[in-house]
Amino acid sequence: MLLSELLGVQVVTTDGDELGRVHDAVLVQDGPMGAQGRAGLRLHAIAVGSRSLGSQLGYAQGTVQGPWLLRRLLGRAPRLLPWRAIVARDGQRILVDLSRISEQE
Amino acid sequence: MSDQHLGAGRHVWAVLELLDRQLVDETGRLVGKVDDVEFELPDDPDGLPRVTALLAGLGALANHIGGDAGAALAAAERRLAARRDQHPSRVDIEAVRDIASAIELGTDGLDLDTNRGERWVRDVIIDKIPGARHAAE
Amino acid sequence: MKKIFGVTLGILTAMGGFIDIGDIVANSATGARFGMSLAWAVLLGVVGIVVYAEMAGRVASVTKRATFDLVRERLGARTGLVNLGASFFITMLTLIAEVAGVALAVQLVVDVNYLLWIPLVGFAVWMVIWRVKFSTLETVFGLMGLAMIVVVVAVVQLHPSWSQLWHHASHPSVPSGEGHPTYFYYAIALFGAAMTPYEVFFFSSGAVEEKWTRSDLMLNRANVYLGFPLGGFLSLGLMAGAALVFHPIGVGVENLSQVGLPTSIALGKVGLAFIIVGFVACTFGAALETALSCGYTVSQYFGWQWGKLVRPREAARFHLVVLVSLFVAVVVGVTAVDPIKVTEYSIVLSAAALPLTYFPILVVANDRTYMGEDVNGPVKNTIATFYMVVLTIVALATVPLMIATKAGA
Repeated sequence: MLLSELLGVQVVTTDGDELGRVHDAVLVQDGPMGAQGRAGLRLHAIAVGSRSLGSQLGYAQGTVQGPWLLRRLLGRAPRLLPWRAIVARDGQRILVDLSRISEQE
Repeated sequence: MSDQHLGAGRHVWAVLELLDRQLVDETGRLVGKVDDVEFELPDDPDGLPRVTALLAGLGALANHIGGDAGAALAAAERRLAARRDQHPSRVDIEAVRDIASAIELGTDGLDLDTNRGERWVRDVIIDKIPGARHAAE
Repeated sequence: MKKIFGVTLGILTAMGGFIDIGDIVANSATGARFGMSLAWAVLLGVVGIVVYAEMAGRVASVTKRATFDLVRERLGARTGLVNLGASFFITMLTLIAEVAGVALAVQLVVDVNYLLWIPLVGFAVWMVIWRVKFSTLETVFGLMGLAMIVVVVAVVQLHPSWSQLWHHASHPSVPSGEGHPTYFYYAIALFGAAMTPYEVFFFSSGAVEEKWTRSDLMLNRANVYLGFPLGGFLSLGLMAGAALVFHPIGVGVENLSQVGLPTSIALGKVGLAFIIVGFVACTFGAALETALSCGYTVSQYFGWQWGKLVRPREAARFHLVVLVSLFVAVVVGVTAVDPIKVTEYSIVLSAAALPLTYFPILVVANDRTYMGEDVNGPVKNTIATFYMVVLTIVALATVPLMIATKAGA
């Protein structure tokens, strides 16, 4: 699977709600050890929303904190959906089951 | 909702920190940009996709851009890579030493596939001009 | 020694950026047509480029990432590609104008048609890029460009009424017979000439070429705070000279020898000699910068090895882009396209394209994971945000004004 296959894809819930498009993914270094002695990167969640600029620049993740004006405009924290919430996936849409999320937490 | 509860270990935002970031080899040479990220899908339904490689090169860039511009780039790449297989240049994730303001690799860049174009231009054009090997600064 | 000559990067950038063929003609033409009433546009541009270049230079020193690398990184490949297309096109236009500009300046000395000089100039620019060390290039052309100080000496020598000059500059008004749209179109042109993107591409890439680090931030500031204002000062000198000589008699400035007239009136043959040296040095310096910037932008977008800091064969694609760009500039130049018109379009379009490259730099300058302690402080951020708003307004106003005024006719 390629990252480009996920990005920009419309996300829809099993109830039919449109949650927006995928504009980022959270990887966590907690996978099996690789040959170099470092843990692998695993994809834990996708970030979904209606606007991607804040996420692309770093405002949504909190990496970039200024200037004030841009942070106000772009600093909305992204909505994260765990990978396991994904029920089905093709090139055009990703179907998620929101009820799966509460099971994990 | 933040990413705090996702798990222990370093968090990396794929688009913000990996995609379109400069790749630098162990000698400090610039060897391309990350154009895409390759994952291996888990065998069991409870598993998570794992990063296996970073992709660079025109083919991967074409995928990443998509649309008409992407299709044009893909066509250019096919013409240029006619004699080779169609796979975009691949940097195995094991070769990545650090993810910082650039992605630092623990290998020598010239061996990497991503430098096919560079080697071609160098051999066919630049080396023919006197002074190409002249020391720099 | 490094510290003293280190300032020459800023001076060269300023010379090339401030006193290239576009500024030379724009400031004189504006002075002739509007007197000093558009001096504020130059000042606005000077402060703007100081803010922009300081940020880009700081980011390049701390992260070793030059501007266009970051443009793609923050805006993504797709938007970055559009950005690259626009920036490369504008830089290319500027290169065509600069190469023709050097030829025009040489024509002032040797009375042979400038079209014949163009291929020689193109070749000379390429040779210098290919063989001359970055630091030598920077020092030689930076210092030679200082010959342009003669225009300020000339203004003083013309014994103007300083209070009157000051009054016109500080009380801007649209002269009778001129429309407001034209006035603002010229303002945008001056602003775009002061804040050309290629200056920042060159300055930030130059900082990486010169291997500036965190400890060179003072040097970065010295370069920016000294170099660019100096360039602005000389621009205003050109404007004042034209305002004093041409404006009262209602004559316009349309070619390079007219630009030199106030100086030769004030200082005779010696003055003229200096200004011609200045013209040649500045336009040649600008040609070097723009040719290198053509290479920098493309290479940094694709992540190729770039720069003069490695042997040419180790940055093959970069040098190929520079070579092809110069070739195209020469080919277009010899078709006798009007260099002044090309320049005018390049500076106006530069003004419109500024937000595309300014914005990512502003964002990275605020990214603590990149900059650590060296992020923008609140004062800088306030001024930088102000300029972001200004740039956006300018970008939106440019094309409508261009159409409304028929490109400043």
